[in-house]
Amino acid sequence: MPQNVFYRFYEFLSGELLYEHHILKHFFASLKRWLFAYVLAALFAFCLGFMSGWFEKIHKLGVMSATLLQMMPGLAWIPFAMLLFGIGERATLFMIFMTAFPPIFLHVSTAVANLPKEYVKIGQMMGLSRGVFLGKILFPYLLPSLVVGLHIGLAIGWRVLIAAEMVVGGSQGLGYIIIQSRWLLDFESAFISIGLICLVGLFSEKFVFTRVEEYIHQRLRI
Amino acid sequence: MRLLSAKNLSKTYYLQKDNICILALSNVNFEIQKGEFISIVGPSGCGKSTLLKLIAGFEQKSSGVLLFDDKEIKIPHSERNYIPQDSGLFRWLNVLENVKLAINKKEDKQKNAFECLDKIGLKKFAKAYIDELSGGMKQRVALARALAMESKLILLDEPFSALDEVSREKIDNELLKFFAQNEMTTILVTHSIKEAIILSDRIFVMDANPGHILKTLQVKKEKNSSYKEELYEEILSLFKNSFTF
Repeated sequence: MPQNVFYRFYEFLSGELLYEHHILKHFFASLKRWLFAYVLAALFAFCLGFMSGWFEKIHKLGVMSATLLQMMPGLAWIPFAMLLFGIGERATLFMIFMTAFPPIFLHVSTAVANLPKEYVKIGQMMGLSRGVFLGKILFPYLLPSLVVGLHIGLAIGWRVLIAAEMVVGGSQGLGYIIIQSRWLLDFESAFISIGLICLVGLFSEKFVFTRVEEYIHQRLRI
Repeated sequence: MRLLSAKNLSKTYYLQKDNICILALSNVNFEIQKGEFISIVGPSGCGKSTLLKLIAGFEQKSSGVLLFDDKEIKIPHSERNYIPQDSGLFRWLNVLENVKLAINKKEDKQKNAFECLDKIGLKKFAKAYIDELSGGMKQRVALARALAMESKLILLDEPFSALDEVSREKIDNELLKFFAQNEMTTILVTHSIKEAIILSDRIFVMDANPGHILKTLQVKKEKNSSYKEELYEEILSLFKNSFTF
Protein backbone atom coordinates (compact mmCIF):
# COMPACT_ATOMS: atom_id res chain seq x y z
CA MET A 1 0.00 0.00 0.00
CA PRO A 2 1.39 3.47 -0.84
CA GLN A 3 0.67 4.82 2.64
CA ASN A 4 2.85 2.06 4.10
CA VAL A 5 5.75 3.33 2.03
CA PHE A 6 5.30 6.86 3.44
CA TYR A 7 4.93 5.49 6.96
CA ARG A 8 8.13 3.41 6.62
CA PHE A 9 9.94 6.42 5.20
CA TYR A 10 8.88 8.45 8.22
CA GLU A 11 10.14 5.69 10.51
CA PHE A 12 13.49 5.59 8.75
CA LEU A 13 13.81 9.37 8.94
CA SER A 14 12.96 9.20 12.65
CA GLY A 15 16.00 7.01 13.26
CA GLU A 16 15.09 3.39 12.51
CA LEU A 17 18.04 1.73 10.81
CA LEU A 18 17.74 0.37 7.30
CA TYR A 19 20.26 -2.40 6.62
CA GLU A 20 22.41 -1.27 9.59
CA HIS A 21 22.53 2.42 8.60
CA HIS A 22 20.33 5.50 8.80
CA ILE A 23 18.55 6.16 5.48
CA LEU A 24 20.25 9.53 5.15
CA LYS A 25 23.61 7.81 5.50
CA HIS A 26 22.68 5.59 2.54
CA PHE A 27 21.47 8.61 0.62
CA PHE A 28 24.57 10.71 1.24
CA ALA A 29 26.88 7.77 0.58
CA SER A 30 25.41 7.50 -2.93
CA LEU A 31 25.49 11.26 -3.43
CA LYS A 32 29.13 11.48 -2.29
CA ARG A 33 30.25 8.66 -4.60
CA TRP A 34 28.37 10.14 -7.52
CA LEU A 35 29.70 13.66 -7.10
CA PHE A 36 33.28 12.59 -6.40
CA ALA A 37 33.57 10.35 -9.47
CA TYR A 38 31.62 12.83 -11.60
CA VAL A 39 33.81 15.82 -10.69
CA LEU A 40 36.90 13.71 -11.36
CA ALA A 41 35.50 12.61 -14.74
CA ALA A 42 34.50 16.20 -15.60
CA LEU A 43 38.00 17.53 -14.81
CA PHE A 44 39.78 14.85 -16.83
CA ALA A 45 37.28 15.07 -19.69
CA PHE A 46 37.55 18.87 -19.83
CA CYS A 47 41.37 18.92 -19.90
CA LEU A 48 41.76 16.02 -22.34
CA GLY A 49 38.81 17.18 -24.47
CA PHE A 50 40.32 20.65 -24.67
CA MET A 51 43.69 19.28 -25.80
CA SER A 52 42.09 16.94 -28.31
CA GLY A 53 40.03 19.78 -29.77
CA TRP A 54 42.93 22.21 -29.92
CA PHE A 55 45.49 19.90 -31.53
CA GLU A 56 44.14 18.79 -34.89
CA LYS A 57 46.45 15.76 -35.06
CA ILE A 58 45.00 14.05 -31.98
CA HIS A 59 41.40 15.22 -32.42
CA LYS A 60 40.22 12.33 -34.61
CA LEU A 61 41.87 9.74 -32.37
CA GLY A 62 40.41 11.35 -29.24
CA VAL A 63 36.88 11.52 -30.66
CA MET A 64 37.08 7.93 -31.93
CA SER A 65 38.29 6.60 -28.55
CA ALA A 66 35.65 8.52 -26.59
CA THR A 67 32.90 7.42 -29.00
CA LEU A 68 34.01 3.83 -28.48
CA LEU A 69 33.84 4.27 -24.70
CA GLN A 70 30.45 5.91 -25.03
CA MET A 71 29.10 2.90 -26.92
CA MET A 72 29.80 0.67 -23.91
CA PRO A 73 26.66 0.23 -21.77
CA GLY A 74 27.31 1.27 -18.14
CA LEU A 75 26.87 -2.25 -16.81
CA ALA A 76 29.38 -3.64 -19.30
CA TRP A 77 32.06 -1.99 -17.18
CA ILE A 78 31.32 -4.37 -14.28
CA PRO A 79 33.86 -7.06 -15.29
CA PHE A 80 36.55 -4.38 -15.79
CA ALA A 81 35.72 -2.77 -12.45
CA MET A 82 35.84 -6.11 -10.62
CA LEU A 83 39.09 -7.12 -12.29
CA LEU A 84 40.77 -3.83 -11.54
CA PHE A 85 39.37 -2.99 -8.10
CA GLY A 86 37.47 -6.01 -6.80
CA ILE A 87 34.17 -5.35 -5.03
CA GLY A 88 33.65 -2.07 -3.18
CA GLU A 89 33.93 1.68 -3.32
CA ARG A 90 36.64 2.04 -5.95
CA ALA A 91 34.86 -0.25 -8.42
CA THR A 92 31.72 1.93 -8.16
CA LEU A 93 33.73 5.12 -8.64
CA PHE A 94 35.46 3.61 -11.66
CA MET A 95 32.14 2.78 -13.30
CA ILE A 96 30.75 6.28 -12.80
CA PHE A 97 33.99 7.79 -14.10
CA MET A 98 34.01 5.65 -17.23
CA THR A 99 30.40 6.45 -18.13
CA ALA A 100 30.41 10.18 -17.30
CA PHE A 101 33.73 10.84 -19.08
CA PRO A 102 32.87 10.27 -22.80
CA PRO A 103 29.95 12.73 -23.26
CA ILE A 104 31.83 15.55 -21.52
CA PHE A 105 35.00 14.82 -23.48
CA LEU A 106 33.16 14.66 -26.81
CA HIS A 107 31.26 17.90 -26.28
CA VAL A 108 34.34 19.86 -25.18
CA SER A 109 36.59 18.41 -27.87
CA THR A 110 34.11 19.05 -30.67
CA ALA A 111 33.36 22.59 -29.50
CA VAL A 112 37.05 23.52 -29.28
CA ALA A 113 37.79 21.93 -32.68
CA ASN A 114 34.90 23.86 -34.23
CA LEU A 115 35.97 27.23 -32.82
CA PRO A 116 35.80 29.57 -35.85
CA LYS A 117 39.35 30.31 -37.02
CA GLU A 118 38.24 33.91 -37.42
CA TYR A 119 37.89 34.24 -33.61
CA VAL A 120 41.52 33.18 -33.16
CA LYS A 121 42.68 35.62 -35.83
CA ILE A 122 40.60 38.47 -34.42
CA GLY A 123 41.99 37.70 -30.96
CA GLN A 124 45.51 37.90 -32.43
CA MET A 125 44.61 41.12 -34.24
CA MET A 126 43.38 42.64 -30.99
CA GLY A 127 46.64 41.63 -29.30
CA LEU A 128 44.87 39.59 -26.62
CA SER A 129 46.99 37.63 -24.19
CA ARG A 130 46.43 33.86 -23.94
CA GLY A 131 44.61 34.27 -20.64
CA VAL A 132 42.24 36.94 -21.93
CA PHE A 133 41.57 34.94 -25.09
CA LEU A 134 40.72 31.84 -23.05
CA GLY A 135 38.58 33.70 -20.53
CA LYS A 136 36.77 36.16 -22.78
CA ILE A 137 36.48 34.28 -26.07
CA LEU A 138 37.18 30.56 -25.95
CA PHE A 139 35.52 29.70 -22.63
CA PRO A 140 32.25 31.59 -23.29
CA TYR A 141 32.17 30.04 -26.76
CA LEU A 142 32.46 26.46 -25.50
CA LEU A 143 30.43 26.90 -22.31
CA PRO A 144 27.05 25.84 -23.82
CA SER A 145 28.60 22.62 -25.21
CA LEU A 146 30.38 21.98 -21.93
CA VAL A 147 27.12 22.32 -20.00
CA VAL A 148 25.34 19.91 -22.35
CA GLY A 149 28.18 17.40 -21.88
CA LEU A 150 28.08 17.86 -18.09
CA HIS A 151 24.32 17.42 -18.14
CA ILE A 152 24.46 14.13 -20.05
CA GLY A 153 27.44 12.91 -18.02
CA LEU A 154 25.69 13.61 -14.74
CA ALA A 155 22.53 11.76 -15.73
CA ILE A 156 24.41 8.71 -17.06
CA GLY A 157 26.69 8.73 -14.01
CA TRP A 158 23.72 8.72 -11.64
CA ARG A 159 22.06 5.82 -13.43
CA VAL A 160 25.22 3.72 -13.44
CA LEU A 161 25.90 4.54 -9.78
CA ILE A 162 22.69 2.82 -8.72
CA ALA A 163 23.47 -0.19 -10.92
CA ALA A 164 27.05 -0.33 -9.64
CA GLU A 165 25.94 -0.18 -6.02
CA MET A 166 23.60 -3.09 -6.72
CA VAL A 167 26.40 -5.25 -8.14
CA VAL A 168 29.87 -4.15 -7.04
CA GLY A 169 29.09 -1.63 -4.31
CA GLY A 170 29.74 -1.89 -0.58
CA SER A 171 27.21 -2.00 2.24
CA GLN A 172 25.78 1.52 1.85
CA GLY A 173 23.88 3.45 -0.81
CA LEU A 174 20.52 3.63 -2.54
CA GLY A 175 21.44 0.86 -4.99
CA TYR A 176 22.47 -1.34 -2.07
CA ILE A 177 19.01 -0.79 -0.47
CA ILE A 178 17.27 -1.90 -3.69
CA ILE A 179 19.30 -5.10 -4.08
CA GLN A 180 18.94 -6.01 -0.38
CA SER A 181 15.17 -5.33 -0.49
CA ARG A 182 14.94 -7.65 -3.45
CA TRP A 183 16.47 -10.57 -1.53
CA LEU A 184 14.28 -9.88 1.52
CA LEU A 185 11.10 -8.99 -0.45
CA ASP A 186 11.10 -5.65 1.42
CA PHE A 187 9.30 -3.70 -1.33
CA GLU A 188 8.60 -0.64 0.81
CA SER A 189 12.32 0.02 1.31
CA ALA A 190 12.92 -0.53 -2.41
CA PHE A 191 10.20 2.00 -3.29
CA ILE A 192 11.65 4.52 -0.83
CA SER A 193 15.05 4.13 -2.47
CA ILE A 194 13.57 4.47 -5.97
CA GLY A 195 11.68 7.59 -4.84
CA LEU A 196 14.89 9.17 -3.55
CA ILE A 197 16.71 8.30 -6.80
CA CYS A 198 13.95 10.03 -8.80
CA LEU A 199 14.04 13.07 -6.50
CA VAL A 200 17.78 13.54 -7.02
CA GLY A 201 17.30 13.20 -10.78
CA LEU A 202 14.46 15.70 -10.76
CA PHE A 203 16.40 18.17 -8.61
CA SER A 204 19.52 18.07 -10.80
CA GLU A 205 17.39 18.37 -13.93
CA LYS A 206 14.91 21.07 -12.94
CA PHE A 207 16.74 23.12 -10.35
CA VAL A 208 20.32 22.88 -11.54
CA PHE A 209 20.73 22.23 -15.25
CA THR A 210 17.58 23.82 -16.60
CA ARG A 211 18.43 27.02 -14.75
CA VAL A 212 22.11 26.95 -15.66
CA GLU A 213 21.25 26.39 -19.33
CA GLU A 214 18.66 29.15 -19.31
CA TYR A 215 21.13 31.53 -17.72
CA ILE A 216 23.85 30.65 -20.22
CA HIS A 217 21.55 31.05 -23.21
CA GLN A 218 20.39 34.42 -21.89
CA ARG A 219 23.84 35.67 -20.92
CA LEU A 220 25.76 34.35 -23.92
CA ARG A 221 23.00 35.28 -26.40
CA ILE A 222 22.92 31.80 -27.94
CA MET B 1 53.66 58.53 -47.70
CA ARG B 2 53.44 54.85 -48.65
CA LEU B 3 51.65 52.65 -46.13
CA LEU B 4 51.00 49.42 -48.00
CA SER B 5 52.51 47.82 -51.08
CA ALA B 6 52.27 44.55 -52.97
CA LYS B 7 54.62 43.23 -55.61
CA ASN B 8 53.87 40.08 -57.65
CA LEU B 9 51.61 38.91 -54.84
CA SER B 10 50.09 35.46 -55.41
CA LYS B 11 47.97 33.10 -53.38
CA THR B 12 47.32 29.44 -54.13
CA TYR B 13 44.89 27.25 -52.22
CA TYR B 14 45.43 23.52 -52.04
CA LEU B 15 42.22 21.50 -51.87
CA GLN B 16 43.24 18.30 -50.15
CA LYS B 17 39.92 16.58 -50.83
CA ASP B 18 40.17 16.96 -54.61
CA ASN B 19 43.98 17.06 -54.67
CA ILE B 20 44.06 20.23 -56.76
CA CYS B 21 45.62 23.67 -56.46
CA ILE B 22 43.59 26.80 -57.12
CA LEU B 23 45.35 30.03 -58.01
CA ALA B 24 43.22 32.63 -56.23
CA LEU B 25 45.50 35.64 -56.82
CA SER B 26 48.23 36.08 -59.38
CA ASN B 27 50.84 38.84 -59.67
CA VAL B 28 48.94 41.54 -57.81
CA ASN B 29 50.81 44.86 -57.67
CA PHE B 30 49.76 48.08 -55.94
CA GLU B 31 50.84 50.86 -53.64
CA ILE B 32 48.54 52.58 -51.15
CA GLN B 33 49.34 55.90 -49.55
CA LYS B 34 48.53 56.91 -45.99
CA GLY B 35 45.02 58.37 -45.65
CA GLU B 36 43.72 56.96 -48.94
CA PHE B 37 40.33 55.33 -49.32
CA ILE B 38 40.53 52.41 -51.75
CA SER B 39 37.61 50.32 -52.96
CA ILE B 40 38.01 46.93 -54.57
CA VAL B 41 35.30 45.82 -56.98
CA GLY B 42 35.06 42.81 -59.23
CA PRO B 43 33.03 39.71 -60.02
CA SER B 44 32.46 37.00 -57.38
CA GLY B 45 35.45 34.73 -56.94
CA CYS B 46 38.02 37.21 -58.23
CA GLY B 47 39.94 37.15 -54.94
CA LYS B 48 38.79 40.45 -53.39
CA SER B 49 38.30 38.97 -49.94
CA THR B 50 41.44 36.85 -50.25
CA LEU B 51 43.46 39.98 -50.94
CA LEU B 52 41.95 41.67 -47.89
CA LYS B 53 42.70 38.66 -45.67
CA LEU B 54 46.31 38.58 -46.90
CA ILE B 55 46.69 42.24 -45.95
CA ALA B 56 45.08 41.53 -42.57
CA GLY B 57 47.47 38.62 -41.99
CA PHE B 58 44.51 36.25 -41.65
CA GLU B 59 45.87 34.24 -44.60
CA GLN B 60 49.45 33.63 -45.77
CA LYS B 61 50.66 34.61 -49.23
CA SER B 62 52.11 31.93 -51.51
CA SER B 63 54.63 34.19 -53.22
CA GLY B 64 55.51 37.83 -53.84
CA VAL B 65 56.00 40.71 -51.45
CA LEU B 66 53.41 42.36 -49.23
CA LEU B 67 54.68 45.21 -47.08
CA PHE B 68 52.94 47.33 -44.45
CA ASP B 69 54.99 50.25 -43.20
CA ASP B 70 57.90 48.60 -45.06
CA LYS B 71 57.57 45.45 -42.94
CA GLU B 72 56.50 42.05 -44.25
CA ILE B 73 52.96 41.07 -43.24
CA LYS B 74 52.99 37.71 -41.50
CA ILE B 75 50.35 37.60 -38.77
CA PRO B 76 47.32 39.70 -37.75
CA HIS B 77 48.19 42.94 -35.93
CA SER B 78 46.20 45.71 -34.31
CA GLU B 79 47.64 48.18 -36.86
CA ARG B 80 45.60 46.45 -39.59
CA ASN B 81 41.96 46.12 -38.59
CA TYR B 82 39.97 43.57 -40.55
CA ILE B 83 36.19 43.90 -40.28
CA PRO B 84 34.42 40.87 -41.78
CA GLN B 85 30.93 40.80 -43.27
CA ASP B 86 29.39 39.71 -39.95
CA SER B 87 31.40 42.45 -38.14
CA GLY B 88 33.49 39.93 -36.13
CA LEU B 89 32.08 41.03 -32.79
CA PHE B 90 31.60 38.61 -29.88
CA ARG B 91 27.90 38.06 -29.26
CA TRP B 92 28.31 37.18 -25.57
CA LEU B 93 29.88 40.57 -24.84
CA ASN B 94 27.90 43.80 -24.92
CA VAL B 95 28.89 46.76 -27.09
CA LEU B 96 31.05 48.36 -24.39
CA GLU B 97 32.79 45.08 -23.51
CA ASN B 98 33.53 44.41 -27.18
CA VAL B 99 35.24 47.78 -27.51
CA LYS B 100 36.98 47.55 -24.12
CA LEU B 101 38.47 44.18 -25.03
CA ALA B 102 40.36 45.85 -27.88
CA ILE B 103 42.05 48.39 -25.61
CA ASN B 104 45.45 47.19 -24.51
CA LYS B 105 46.24 50.05 -22.14
CA LYS B 106 45.45 49.14 -18.56
CA GLU B 107 44.29 52.58 -17.38
CA ASP B 108 41.01 54.27 -18.27
CA LYS B 109 39.74 51.40 -20.42
CA GLN B 110 36.11 52.27 -19.67
CA LYS B 111 36.61 55.96 -20.43
CA ASN B 112 38.45 55.26 -23.69
CA ALA B 113 35.81 52.78 -24.80
CA PHE B 114 33.04 55.32 -24.13
CA GLU B 115 34.97 57.97 -26.10
CA CYS B 116 35.24 55.62 -29.10
CA LEU B 117 31.55 54.81 -28.92
CA ASP B 118 30.74 58.49 -28.66
CA LYS B 119 32.69 59.22 -31.87
CA ILE B 120 30.63 56.63 -33.69
CA GLY B 121 27.35 57.80 -32.13
CA LEU B 122 26.59 54.64 -30.19
CA LYS B 123 27.29 55.71 -26.64
CA LYS B 124 23.70 55.13 -25.57
CA PHE B 125 23.85 51.54 -26.86
CA ALA B 126 26.88 50.68 -24.69
CA LYS B 127 24.98 48.08 -22.69
CA ALA B 128 23.20 46.52 -25.67
CA TYR B 129 24.16 43.07 -26.88
CA ILE B 130 25.30 42.51 -30.45
CA ASP B 131 22.17 40.60 -31.50
CA GLU B 132 20.08 43.60 -30.42
CA LEU B 133 21.76 45.84 -33.01
CA SER B 134 20.98 46.33 -36.69
CA GLY B 135 23.52 45.33 -39.36
CA GLY B 136 24.71 48.92 -39.77
CA MET B 137 25.08 49.45 -36.03
CA LYS B 138 27.19 46.29 -35.73
CA GLN B 139 29.56 47.65 -38.36
CA ARG B 140 29.77 50.93 -36.47
CA VAL B 141 30.68 49.06 -33.27
CA ALA B 142 33.38 47.25 -35.26
CA LEU B 143 34.64 50.68 -36.36
CA ALA B 144 34.61 51.88 -32.74
CA ARG B 145 36.71 48.83 -31.91
CA ALA B 146 39.12 49.82 -34.69
CA LEU B 147 39.32 53.31 -33.16
CA ALA B 148 40.02 51.79 -29.75
CA MET B 149 42.85 49.74 -31.25
CA GLU B 150 44.26 52.88 -32.88
CA SER B 151 44.59 50.93 -36.17
CA LYS B 152 46.35 52.60 -39.08
CA LEU B 153 44.50 50.61 -41.73
CA ILE B 154 40.85 49.54 -41.83
CA LEU B 155 39.93 46.59 -44.03
CA LEU B 156 36.19 46.35 -44.70
CA ASP B 157 34.99 43.12 -46.29
CA GLU B 158 31.57 43.79 -47.87
CA PRO B 159 30.34 45.31 -44.62
CA PHE B 160 26.95 46.48 -45.83
CA SER B 161 26.00 43.72 -48.24
CA ALA B 162 23.03 42.66 -46.10
CA LEU B 163 21.57 46.18 -45.91
CA ASP B 164 18.90 47.73 -48.12
CA GLU B 165 19.77 50.57 -50.51
CA VAL B 166 18.47 53.39 -48.25
CA SER B 167 20.26 52.21 -45.10
CA ARG B 168 23.37 51.64 -47.15
CA GLU B 169 23.38 55.18 -48.50
CA LYS B 170 22.91 56.59 -45.00
CA ILE B 171 25.80 54.53 -43.67
CA ASP B 172 28.01 55.48 -46.63
CA ASN B 173 27.50 59.15 -45.70
CA GLU B 174 28.31 58.41 -42.07
CA LEU B 175 31.40 56.50 -43.16
CA LEU B 176 32.59 59.45 -45.20
CA LYS B 177 32.26 61.71 -42.16
CA PHE B 178 33.97 59.14 -39.94
CA PHE B 179 36.98 58.69 -42.20
CA ALA B 180 37.29 62.42 -42.83
CA GLN B 181 37.40 63.01 -39.06
CA ASN B 182 39.75 60.18 -38.18
CA GLU B 183 42.09 60.25 -41.21
CA MET B 184 42.22 56.48 -41.50
CA THR B 185 43.53 54.57 -44.48
CA THR B 186 40.77 52.28 -45.65
CA ILE B 187 40.33 49.41 -48.09
CA LEU B 188 36.74 48.49 -48.84
CA VAL B 189 35.67 45.36 -50.68
CA THR B 190 32.25 45.92 -52.19
CA HIS B 191 29.87 44.63 -54.82
CA SER B 192 28.34 48.07 -55.23
CA ILE B 193 30.05 50.18 -57.87
CA LYS B 194 28.03 53.23 -56.74
CA GLU B 195 29.28 52.85 -53.18
CA ALA B 196 32.87 52.52 -54.42
CA ILE B 197 32.54 55.76 -56.45
CA ILE B 198 31.01 57.72 -53.55
CA LEU B 199 33.57 56.67 -50.95
CA SER B 200 36.87 56.17 -52.76
CA ASP B 201 39.96 58.05 -53.80
CA ARG B 202 40.92 55.12 -56.03
CA ILE B 203 39.13 51.99 -57.22
CA PHE B 204 40.84 48.67 -57.94
CA VAL B 205 38.82 46.76 -60.53
CA MET B 206 39.62 43.05 -60.23
CA ASP B 207 39.07 40.14 -62.55
CA ALA B 208 38.93 36.40 -61.93
CA ASN B 209 40.69 33.22 -63.15
CA PRO B 210 43.15 33.91 -61.67
CA GLY B 211 42.38 36.93 -59.50
CA HIS B 212 44.31 40.04 -60.51
CA ILE B 213 43.88 43.82 -60.66
CA LEU B 214 42.48 44.64 -64.09
CA LYS B 215 42.65 48.42 -63.75
CA THR B 216 43.16 51.08 -61.11
CA LEU B 217 40.89 54.10 -61.46
CA GLN B 218 41.61 57.47 -59.88
CA VAL B 219 38.43 59.11 -58.53
CA LYS B 220 38.13 62.90 -58.54
CA LYS B 221 37.41 64.69 -55.26
CA GLU B 222 34.55 66.65 -56.82
CA LYS B 223 31.96 64.10 -57.83
CA ASN B 224 28.97 65.50 -59.70
CA SER B 225 26.28 63.17 -60.98
CA SER B 226 27.48 63.09 -64.62
CA TYR B 227 31.02 62.23 -63.49
CA LYS B 228 29.67 59.45 -61.27
CA GLU B 229 27.62 58.06 -64.17
CA GLU B 230 30.62 58.13 -66.51
CA LEU B 231 32.78 56.31 -64.01
CA TYR B 232 30.00 53.83 -63.33
CA GLU B 233 29.74 53.04 -67.04
CA GLU B 234 33.51 52.71 -67.36
CA ILE B 235 33.68 50.19 -64.51
CA LEU B 236 30.68 48.33 -65.85
CA SER B 237 32.25 48.05 -69.31
CA LEU B 238 35.44 46.67 -67.71
CA PHE B 239 33.28 44.05 -66.00
CA LYS B 240 31.46 43.18 -69.23
CA ASN B 241 34.68 42.90 -71.23
CA SER B 242 36.27 40.66 -68.67
CA PHE B 243 33.39 38.15 -68.61
CA THR B 244 34.02 35.33 -71.06
CA PHE B 245 31.80 32.27 -71.21
